[in-house]
Amino acid sequence: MQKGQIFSLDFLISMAVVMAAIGLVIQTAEVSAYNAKETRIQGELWNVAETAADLIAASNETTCSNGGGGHLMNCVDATADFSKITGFLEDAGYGYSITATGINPLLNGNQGSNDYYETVRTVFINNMSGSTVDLKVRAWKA
Amino acid sequence: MRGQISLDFLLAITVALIATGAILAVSGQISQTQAQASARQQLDGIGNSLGAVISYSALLNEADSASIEFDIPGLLIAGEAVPQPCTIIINTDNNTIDLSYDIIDTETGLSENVSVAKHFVNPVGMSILPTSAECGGSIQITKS
Repeated sequence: MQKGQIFSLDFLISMAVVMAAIGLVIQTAEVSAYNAKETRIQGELWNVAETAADLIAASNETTCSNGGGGHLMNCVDATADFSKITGFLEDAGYGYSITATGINPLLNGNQGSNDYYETVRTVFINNMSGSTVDLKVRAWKA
Repeated sequence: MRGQISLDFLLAITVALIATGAILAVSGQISQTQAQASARQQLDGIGNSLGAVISYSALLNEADSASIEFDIPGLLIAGEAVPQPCTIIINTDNNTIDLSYDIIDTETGLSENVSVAKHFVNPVGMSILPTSAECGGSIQITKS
């Protein structure tokens, strides 16, 4: 070391390495937290869309009557009141689109560039004598 | 000079102490953040599962009788030997489930609340009991 010199080159290099290591650890933790958050959001989208689709295809309020007091699963009554299921999606803060040939589209919000999850159920509309259609339920964070 | 501690040595010790303190502070903050994220993730999973079970129970509302029992898992928290209880409140007026857990910061001793809210489709005609539960307990949904 020279007179008047405070830090040696070795010391400066070691400090740089320590700082880089700390930075790397912090960045890794941030990336991990971000991934966990994204996984959580995707899980929620999956959960609400699958629940909504299952309930439309199977709940007593939205399926076709069998004429004997019961209802037919996977046969959707196009005139049914879907508000209980769409209300669930709206209350939970999700935009959605529910579409199928023979049913008036149910839409809430603009998907834009938001990530979404879409699930499909193969159902009859109004009665089981026709051909099946795809009921598509798409959800995104509004 | 003999018996004299060099400036280099004093500087090195000072820097080492500061660096060690900084690293400990950062690692403590990271572990606290991770503990919160882990608790939130578990509450989220429990809320999603419980919300789905309550929503799906609506499919049974025309049955003469039906019963569903949902066992709520406890929270796995770092440093705790057994699964921890959380607080769960089911509100059938606004169709929400509120889940919360207080994490104790091991360094400061202060508690920090982690909470999650979930929605469900109200299974009209079904009875949900109890409406206040804990992680590790169970919920019964019945139609009679």
